[in-house]
Amino acid sequence: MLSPLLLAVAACAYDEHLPQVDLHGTLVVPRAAATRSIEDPRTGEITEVTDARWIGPVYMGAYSGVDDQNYGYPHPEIGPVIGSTDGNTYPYGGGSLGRFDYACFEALVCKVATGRFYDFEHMIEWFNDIIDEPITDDFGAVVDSPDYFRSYCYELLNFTDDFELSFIACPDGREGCNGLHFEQNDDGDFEAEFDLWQVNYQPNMQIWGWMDSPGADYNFTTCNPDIGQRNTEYANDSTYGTNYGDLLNFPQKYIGTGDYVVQNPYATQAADADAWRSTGETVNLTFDYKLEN
Amino acid sequence: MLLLTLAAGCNLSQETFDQDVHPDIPGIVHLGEIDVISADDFLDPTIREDLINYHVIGPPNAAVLGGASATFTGVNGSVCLIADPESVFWAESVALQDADERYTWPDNFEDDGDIDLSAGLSAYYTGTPGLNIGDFNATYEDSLGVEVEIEFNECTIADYYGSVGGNSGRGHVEFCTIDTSSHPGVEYTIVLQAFSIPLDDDLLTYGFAIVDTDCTSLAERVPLNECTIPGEARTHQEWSGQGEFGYDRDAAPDLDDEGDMVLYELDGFRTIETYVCGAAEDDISGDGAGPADYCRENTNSRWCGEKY
Repeated sequence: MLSPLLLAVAACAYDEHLPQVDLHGTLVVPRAAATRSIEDPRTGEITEVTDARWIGPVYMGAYSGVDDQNYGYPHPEIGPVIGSTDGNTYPYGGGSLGRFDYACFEALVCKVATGRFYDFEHMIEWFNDIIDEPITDDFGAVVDSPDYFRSYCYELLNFTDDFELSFIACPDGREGCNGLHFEQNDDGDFEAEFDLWQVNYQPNMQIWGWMDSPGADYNFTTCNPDIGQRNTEYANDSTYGTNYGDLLNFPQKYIGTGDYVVQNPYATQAADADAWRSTGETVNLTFDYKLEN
Repeated sequence: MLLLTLAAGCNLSQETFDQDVHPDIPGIVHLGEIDVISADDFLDPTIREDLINYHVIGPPNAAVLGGASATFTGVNGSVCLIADPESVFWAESVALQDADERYTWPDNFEDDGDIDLSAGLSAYYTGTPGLNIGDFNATYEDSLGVEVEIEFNECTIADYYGSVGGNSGRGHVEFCTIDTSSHPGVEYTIVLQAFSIPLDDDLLTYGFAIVDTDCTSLAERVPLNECTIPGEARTHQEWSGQGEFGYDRDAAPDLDDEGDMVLYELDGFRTIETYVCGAAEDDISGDGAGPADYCRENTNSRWCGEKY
């Protein structure tokens, strides 16, 4: 009776020696990337605002190499240029910290990334009061009530609780919430932990990435407002918008002025995937190269 | 014994479904160098048909890709490749009241073929002109020695979801832009893969042109649709009423003085096409001859039964 049980337990330790690895690490975005000067249009007063909500989605990938020969800033090596299409980076894998999510109103398409907002109140404060890009509903009325925001989302998406909304980081309240991606460290910079799942491991592959900084209207170049699920509820006719599908393959198409890229990529040293797993190493990335013009 | 009989019955060969190879019309052809036409010339309806290349492909040997290949020389800009396989009619309007008659012609499924386009620098082409149809696939090795299968096909067509890898459907015109500005004077290869060959005469005719502008700009001047390349539905013999579909399938094609194959327009097709492409019915069928020609080939058509 005992032996089948032992066998079953022993089977759980079976190592498949998969060539893919899960990378875990910490990234640092400098304080400057989360700081903007905002002018109050009514008083002309300029205020410096440092806030993690200035940090857009952060994209990271594993590549064969990184250099600054092709584009003048650190960028993954590219394959052959085919026709008028820039070379593909052929990444081994990757992921992002924060992704665009549909926050119920068309006015917020491509403006809301996951892991940046505590709750509805936090969003209203940001868009209406701090950056002066008010959230409006389908009738053009300014959304200034968290309860209205919530009820509209529940109605539109057929949800019944905040935890179903990915863009709400703290569905159970701000106290003890760990849903926000970034925390300010002792140096004043912003840190976050990340995971890149099932990366095809190669020895000496380079982990590199960039942060998409918001533009003047708090728009992001890595988001396409014309794709994604279609919203046809009642008189609505718009798309949810979502990330482009080739961000890691063609980063150069989306990186622009104000974005921060990794200058010194992390290079894996282990000989193979098994060796990497046995080291338990974590990846540390600093997004310290700002693109100027 | 019974087992042996059953085993012998398991003939998994699918050759019975293949179209027979035509004795005189090959399934793999190479058209040689094709001239790039200026957009202004292409837009001139009085000379457009003279500039378009009309050709025919027969069924290839079983389990072999068939089609045509050709080359052209890169220009200092983009070119638009346009291919229109025979034939497809239009049967979009199904309204019982106020139907647009131009769109009520039923389709003859058996005269429709399909061509899929691809093109790229000849240096990357894996086929042998006239012997086999290849592709533009190659292996790229990155700086860590990892090999990736990549495609140098530059004739990319968006699919339903906007991703590359799409193709126009059966009988429909297919086009794509090739930016040759990086390689002016360098030879490109075009592949017109015969995806399906019409059942009526086992021959796939098509019209093909290369225009010296990108397809988006060209489409702003002339719609790129079934009317862009006129009269693409042809066959190797004049309609005679012989055989299942009115043609002697295995007859040798007529040749002109230069030894090139003579292609005859498919009976009645031009009439319908002219009508659908904008001419009033009275302009083309005042004597009833056009639709009558069409109906002669489509005796099972309900539309013909009602009108002619």
